[in-house]
Amino acid sequence: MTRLRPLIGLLAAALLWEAASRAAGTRAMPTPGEIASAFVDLVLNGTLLRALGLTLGHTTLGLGAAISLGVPLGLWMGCSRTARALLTPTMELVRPLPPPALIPPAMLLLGFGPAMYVTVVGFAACFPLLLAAMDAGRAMPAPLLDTARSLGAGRLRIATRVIAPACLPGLATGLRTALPVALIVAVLTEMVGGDGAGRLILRLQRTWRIPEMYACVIGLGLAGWALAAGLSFLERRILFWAPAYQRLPPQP
Amino acid sequence: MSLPHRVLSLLFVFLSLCCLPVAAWGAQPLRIGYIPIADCLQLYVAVEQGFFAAEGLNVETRPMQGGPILSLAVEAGELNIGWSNVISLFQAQTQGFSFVLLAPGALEDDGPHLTHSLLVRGDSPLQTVGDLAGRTVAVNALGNVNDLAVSVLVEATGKDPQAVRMVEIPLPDMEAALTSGAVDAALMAEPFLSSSLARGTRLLVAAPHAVFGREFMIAGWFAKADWAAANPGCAAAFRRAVDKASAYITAHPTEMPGVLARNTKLAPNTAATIALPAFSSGLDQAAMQRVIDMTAVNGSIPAAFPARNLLAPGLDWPQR
Amino acid sequence: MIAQVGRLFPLGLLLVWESLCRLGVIDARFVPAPSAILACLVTPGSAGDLLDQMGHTLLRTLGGFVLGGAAGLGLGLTCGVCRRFDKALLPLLEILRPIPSVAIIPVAILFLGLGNGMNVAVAAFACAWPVFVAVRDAVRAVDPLLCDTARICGLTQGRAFRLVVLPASLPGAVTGLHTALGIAVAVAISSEMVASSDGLGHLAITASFSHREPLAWAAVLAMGLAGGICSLVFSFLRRLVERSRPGLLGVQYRKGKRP
Repeated sequence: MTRLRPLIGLLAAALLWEAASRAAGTRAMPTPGEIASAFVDLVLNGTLLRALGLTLGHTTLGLGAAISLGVPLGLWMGCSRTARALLTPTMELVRPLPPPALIPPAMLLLGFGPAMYVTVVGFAACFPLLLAAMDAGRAMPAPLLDTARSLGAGRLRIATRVIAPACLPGLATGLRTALPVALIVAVLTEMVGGDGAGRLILRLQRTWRIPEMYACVIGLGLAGWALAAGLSFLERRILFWAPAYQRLPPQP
Repeated sequence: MSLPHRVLSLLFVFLSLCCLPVAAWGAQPLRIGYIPIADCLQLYVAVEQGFFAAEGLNVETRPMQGGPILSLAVEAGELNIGWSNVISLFQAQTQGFSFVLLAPGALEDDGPHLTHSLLVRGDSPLQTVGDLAGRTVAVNALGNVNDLAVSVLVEATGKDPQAVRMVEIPLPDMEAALTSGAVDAALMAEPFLSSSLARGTRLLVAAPHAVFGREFMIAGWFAKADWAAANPGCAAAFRRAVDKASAYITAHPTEMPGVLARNTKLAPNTAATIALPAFSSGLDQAAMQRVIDMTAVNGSIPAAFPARNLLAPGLDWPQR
Repeated sequence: MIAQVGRLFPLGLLLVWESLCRLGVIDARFVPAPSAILACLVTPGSAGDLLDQMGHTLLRTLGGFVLGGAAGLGLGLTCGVCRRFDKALLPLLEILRPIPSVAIIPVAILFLGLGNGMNVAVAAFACAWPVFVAVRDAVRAVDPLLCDTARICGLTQGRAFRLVVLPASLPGAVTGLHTALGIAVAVAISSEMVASSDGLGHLAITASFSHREPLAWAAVLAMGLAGGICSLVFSFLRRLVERSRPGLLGVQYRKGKRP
């Protein structure tokens, strides 16, 4: 029975969608049955899997860029008051720019290749990581740092052996937030850039193939779920020492 | 009830409230959706000259950013009447959405009313449409009339249309994409067409829509078939007002730049230099049928259908 | 001093942009110079227009943030505390998370029409997720020692939740809310670009379609400003809470220095 529990939420959602579809009464909102059959068709003729593959590639590119830029920057900003004061105004002005506003300049400067995806997706996904790293740095327990310093550890050792591990749980949360953001922005960029799941969804919507469009969207959701499950798996392996993964009952 | 259960039930109540459709409030004005471009000139003229009021219509016009959302809003009942390019209407028809045309829209030809052209960079090596195979072409919406036109043109040269990579780029960004090399060709529309040509881009195909016929009705005013059947008087009044506007436009071409400047955010001197479509109260059904058949052959729609199905039954459709 | 430099940094970037335009490195037809954008801002018509639209956008952002934040908090707390709900809901929520707002907008239009409700709903959908993830993780990361202590002291489930779990998960929740704020602004503007007749997103699109590039870029600058304003308010409130109840939001004091 507990194995089937994950299906409860999905079933409830499917029923809710069926009810909503009937309430709307238009072909613009197809029933779960129509979407499911469209999904099967798209998977069988390979279109969906090919498109999702491209999208996952773009997402990974962007996420890699976001991690390499956002995490060190965020940790620095978290631990250093000067860095925070220096960079926060710029960050807060630049953060809310929506991807649709950034894609045209990126397209002009970088063309339609991987560089555009790295820039736009990396830009959007680096902020959750940056914020998580910043807050993890700020919330670092002072005793840890004091102990390390009094034991004579140099700055590099402190950074790698004390600060980084202490911040990892917070960073993991940031990565978990950044993952769907990267996926979404990759899809948005593909809508203009012309390949992958973004283009497929756009084309299906433009040609009024609505059940197929929603099937692609669900496919995207499934891909995101798979990525998140993969991330959780890695986390449990690496962060087994964090309180969230203790096997003893942490619940009150 | 334990706390989590309480939280969860509140959540479900909240979520289900969000799903309630908005209640209709009773008698409402006629909501017409349009895109603030030159092709919707009939609407601006009809409003300014009071043609709607003369027909007893209380009209509320609603500018939208793009065709797809506009059509969705009509389907959702948010708008009563909308404006769309005909290819999208054909596609909706074959996917089970029942829209009907209420009035003919912008007409394009390869002469004074040329509003779309296929452009390349001034120094581009491309000379013919056949050279587009393996290249990237920008269109303003995937799967629409422009996408189809390029496909048909490429197919006519014997090359495979699938070898041409179409990307959707908003019209204002097309010139920049072209000159920066991101795309190799772009199918542009006014008002960006004239300004782009003035800045050094070159024509590859002057009249890409000529594949559909010497004169091509590129768009029309439409509504849901249910709505048109339930409101025949309203639909007929709308049609009469639009026909009057079409006649007015044909009779007073010099006033049109001013109308455009007032109704779109186009600057008056730009409005005076761009090419405008033609407007008529008649519709060439045979020509429309030819385009439907062409769309079916090209694969944009699964199968052809009689053009008659797309025309609102209660209205007159004089031959153009 | 450093804070002043930090605040002037964006201005420095603008100056670099201006000089690049003057030198011709950036093609001014497609990327107007900041001076052109400012000139456009200074004309009374545009400035008033921009402020108006910014007001609309900020309202929608606020609505989306409040709704999405509340939904994220509720869902996150539920899933964090109760393993059964977590197992039942998590697959569904993980599938919903990566769905882009462009796919949600048609559904929102079908049920909520074209008004503010649609923008708020779409923004709420997008910004609920960072809050959900952060809160759920924060609840699950509560030190087991604290929970054991609460149980030993004989606290009921409800009281333990209110007195132990909630405060312990507050820092994580605030991080999630901070992320969600930026997302709310971005998605509200994106939905305006597609389906609204006012707001900064609409202005940017309309301006570029009318060949008025400086106005479009001014709208983009205004988007950043709108987000900056939201963040300022958020940081101010956060600092207020931190000052009055030190340690509540997880920031540690070190050797008497204020963070």
